[in-house]
Amino acid sequence: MPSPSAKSVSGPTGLIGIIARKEILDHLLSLKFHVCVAAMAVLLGLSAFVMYRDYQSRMETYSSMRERAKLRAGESGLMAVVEPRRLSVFAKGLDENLDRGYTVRAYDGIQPHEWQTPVARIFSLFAPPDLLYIVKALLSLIALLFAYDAVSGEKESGTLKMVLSGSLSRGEFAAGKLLGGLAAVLLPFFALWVAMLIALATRPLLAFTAADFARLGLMFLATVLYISAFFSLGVLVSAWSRTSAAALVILLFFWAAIVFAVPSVGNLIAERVSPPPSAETQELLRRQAFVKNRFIAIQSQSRDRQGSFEAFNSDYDRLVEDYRVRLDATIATSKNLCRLSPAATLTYFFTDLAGTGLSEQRRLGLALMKFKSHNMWALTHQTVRDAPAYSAFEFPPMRLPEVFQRGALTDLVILAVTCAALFMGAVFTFLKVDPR
Amino acid sequence: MPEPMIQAIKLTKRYEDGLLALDHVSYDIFPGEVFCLLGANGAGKTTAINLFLDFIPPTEGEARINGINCHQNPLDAKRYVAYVSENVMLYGNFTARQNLDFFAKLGGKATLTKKDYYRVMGEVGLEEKAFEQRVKEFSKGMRQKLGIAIAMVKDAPAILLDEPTSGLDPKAGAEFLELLKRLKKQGKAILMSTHDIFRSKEIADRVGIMKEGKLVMQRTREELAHEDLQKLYLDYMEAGVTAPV
Repeated sequence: MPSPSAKSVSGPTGLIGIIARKEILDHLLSLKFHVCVAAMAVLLGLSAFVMYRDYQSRMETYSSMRERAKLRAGESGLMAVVEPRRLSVFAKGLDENLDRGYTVRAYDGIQPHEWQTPVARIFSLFAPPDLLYIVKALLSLIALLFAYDAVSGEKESGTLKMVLSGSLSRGEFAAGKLLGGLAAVLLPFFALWVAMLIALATRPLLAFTAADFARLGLMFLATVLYISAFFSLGVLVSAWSRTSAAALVILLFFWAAIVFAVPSVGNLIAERVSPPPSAETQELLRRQAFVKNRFIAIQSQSRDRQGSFEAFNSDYDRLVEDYRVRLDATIATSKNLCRLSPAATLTYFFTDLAGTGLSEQRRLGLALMKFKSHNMWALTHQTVRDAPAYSAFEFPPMRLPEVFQRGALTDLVILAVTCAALFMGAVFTFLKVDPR
Repeated sequence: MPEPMIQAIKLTKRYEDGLLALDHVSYDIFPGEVFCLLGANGAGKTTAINLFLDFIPPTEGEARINGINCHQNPLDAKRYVAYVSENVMLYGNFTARQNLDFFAKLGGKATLTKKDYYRVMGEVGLEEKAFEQRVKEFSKGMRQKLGIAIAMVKDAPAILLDEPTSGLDPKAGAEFLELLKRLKKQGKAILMSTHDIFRSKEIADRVGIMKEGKLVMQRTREELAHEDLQKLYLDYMEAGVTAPV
């Protein structure tokens, strides 16, 4: 009996490695790879420049408002000023909405400050070119462009028959292709990301801490999971399709649905299922509470200003709580629906880590209420400037365990499960491919 | 008597649409033997090769390489076989040497050096300047030669050739036959599906004619020495399907 001439000397892992290395080399030698890496480099460079300038502008606004808050405290209530988050340069999220300054007055409650200098709102018109957007929209598209012909292309060119005529299992081949293709997408991206990080870390305004780097590491992990999910989807569709052209069209449809359509539709459905409270109604109710309490005070000819304020404050707190409960319900419904899209899940995860997400906005509302309660005496006696009871507004970023507790862990698990399911789906679909 | 290296035992394939592509076909190919399968398009020649490579499952019967059932133990069976298709398609962005290196490593030949690859490419008749040339710039003849080089590097005892000379110019076709003769001398069992009657007569130890999924004729080289293979082939093609041999 002849010896097995083609015996695998390196075992299955070795064969996966051989396929993966071939895949990387094949990409490295292609024009597609060079064009995509150039696009990544340009966009990440632009992102670093634009987002830093934007952060700089927000910091200037913050500094000027903080100065005003100090100078004019007590003239018309208290002022709470919110510092922009450093990591917002990577995921701007709701940072623009977390208005820099709030005025807290006895009979007005908490309102965005009227002196507030409008920050350059150019990004309200266009999506901010932050890292989150680049990963979510561009890198996912690149992953699909690298994957759409992974199997169908080999089938069309005839190389699939050549490879599978060897003693290599389809599972090994699929795993090698997935790992090699992913490495070809992710390695240059992470090299460019590190370069961007170094460029930003050397800027005077951005002194990243160890905690920031830990959060960036988690963003890195989420990016790996997200892009792996897209790449696996690409290989799955490529294995299922008869031609590469058909695979590309199907994948572009999926990409548009996942990145843009599902989050938008999720929000629309959430608004119908659990309507959010209207800010106008809220303001109307606040005024009614104010008028009611003033009227009661006048009717009873009471000179008890403190009692009138406390009555209004109690009504106001109840209104805010009601508003928050209804808003939370809308947000929870929206989040649950939007999480069907890995792009939305990635957005929640990135923005929560950067301190610019929905959790942070909710936390800010609570912090402002606490600030108001804490300074109630000073507010009603208009002695804010001199009152020892007055305390400045502090709003430090959420600690990492709390970030995870408030939903980031769920998002990470969803991304990991989606990635694993699509990876397995791609491998199983490939097992049934007819290489002829 | 040596054991057959390539064996078809009542091999049958009926596709899902009901087409009977292969109907109880049996043959044995021994080490050092070249068996040429002739037949019109759709006669079932390529289907048989696809069954040996387990690209499709058989409906009935067995395909065996070195005694191993190709459908039940495909990975074991494929360790003993090399395959060269009608159009050897390789990775176009890779050079000839890079392609050879990739397929050699897949075949478990991890220790081969650049020198070894150059030697094999030289042996199959590739010009030296082509060794580091991208394969997408190769002619069909050059790709076929590289396909044979891949099979030689794998050093498998069985070789399956699916219409390897179709589309080759006369010179390239003649060079290809010389390569096959060398492989035959090395003791390889070779199954070649082809339309090329003249080259079959020159290289084959046995010739089979397939028609509508049946192996309708088998002749040895000695038997063919006094017969006109072309006439025989045309006679079988014109006649109704006879019982399988």
